[in-house]
Amino acid sequence: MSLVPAYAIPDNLPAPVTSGATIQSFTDVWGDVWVAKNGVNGGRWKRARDAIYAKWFRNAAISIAGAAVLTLDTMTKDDYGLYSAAAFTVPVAGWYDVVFQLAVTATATGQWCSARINVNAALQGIMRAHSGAAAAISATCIQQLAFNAGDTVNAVAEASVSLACTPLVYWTYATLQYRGTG
Amino acid sequence: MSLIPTYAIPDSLPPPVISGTTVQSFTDVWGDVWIAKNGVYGGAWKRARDTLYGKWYRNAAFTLPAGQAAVPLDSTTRDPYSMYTNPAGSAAYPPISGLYDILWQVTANATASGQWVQPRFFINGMLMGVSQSYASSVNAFSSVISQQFVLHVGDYIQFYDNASTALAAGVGAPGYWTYATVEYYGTG
Repeated sequence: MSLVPAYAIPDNLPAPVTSGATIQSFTDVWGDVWVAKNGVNGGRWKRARDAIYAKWFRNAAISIAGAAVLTLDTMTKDDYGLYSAAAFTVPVAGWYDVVFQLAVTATATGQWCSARINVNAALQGIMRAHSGAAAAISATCIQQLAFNAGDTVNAVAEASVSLACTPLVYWTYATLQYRGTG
Repeated sequence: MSLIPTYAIPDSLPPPVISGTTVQSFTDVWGDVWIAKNGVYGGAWKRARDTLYGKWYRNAAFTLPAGQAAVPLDSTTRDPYSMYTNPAGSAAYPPISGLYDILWQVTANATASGQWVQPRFFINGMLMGVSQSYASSVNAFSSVISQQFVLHVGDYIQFYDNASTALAAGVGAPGYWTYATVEYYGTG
């Protein structure tokens, strides 16, 4: 067994986080970003690329009219509590995947819906789908964006006329996934 | 600066895998997941996040039937660890547990306005992803799903479509019309 300098071997990570309510981050000498939060995995450090992920979807009925922030009312996975008050809050700076799919039930042809991604209240992504019949349509907005810690990401739903959102985990949902430092 | 033993420095990884047919995995002391498979990169270990990726597409002419049916993807862009082992059922099998990104796009050539396609994917037979698009003219139109899920060894993903009427799929290389990808993101 050889000996090497002890840089950021796990033993050299900061101690588990056992107090406070915010996500803590640490960058090791290889540039890997680690995160920890009191009460999550016992406060232990995990690589941000493994851990920073959230998915929420719309489960309850709601009507979409005009453009408005959509509240996603049900969580699929969000270990670090990124989503609150209808917004994802970015815990550490970096490069992220953001997906927002919106489905609505059209009542006639020619209607449309748009899935928009807003960052700090500014539009950063949009996808629009048109109806060809009185049935469900969906728009899937997929973006990769660089964020600063504290940036807020909203799923904004828009429709040409008032239309019922098509709920459930596979129809109307949003995800935020950390991919790296960018 | 202290000195400590070298645990899972890459040269301390298990030896290359030179027998068997399944993907082997190893988690080092830093929590990084490595995989290896006999016959792939000489059985050498690679980080799962770097290497565990598959992309498949439809190249040959194919008719999307009316209603729901599997879409066999007949061509592979990349799949070093052979996740897509059941083309007839259009099924991919993640070899290790973790968080995966799944992308599924279907393109059809409409013969009239008002027709629609609905790409769907199932995990272990349960509908987990769907989207829907309509044609507004006699032309190609597409619909795409992007989802992430925590999957486990033995889980499988199936790529289906549900169409309003029988429609010719958009096909061809290198797979920009009708294709699927599965990518390992991390432990989740």
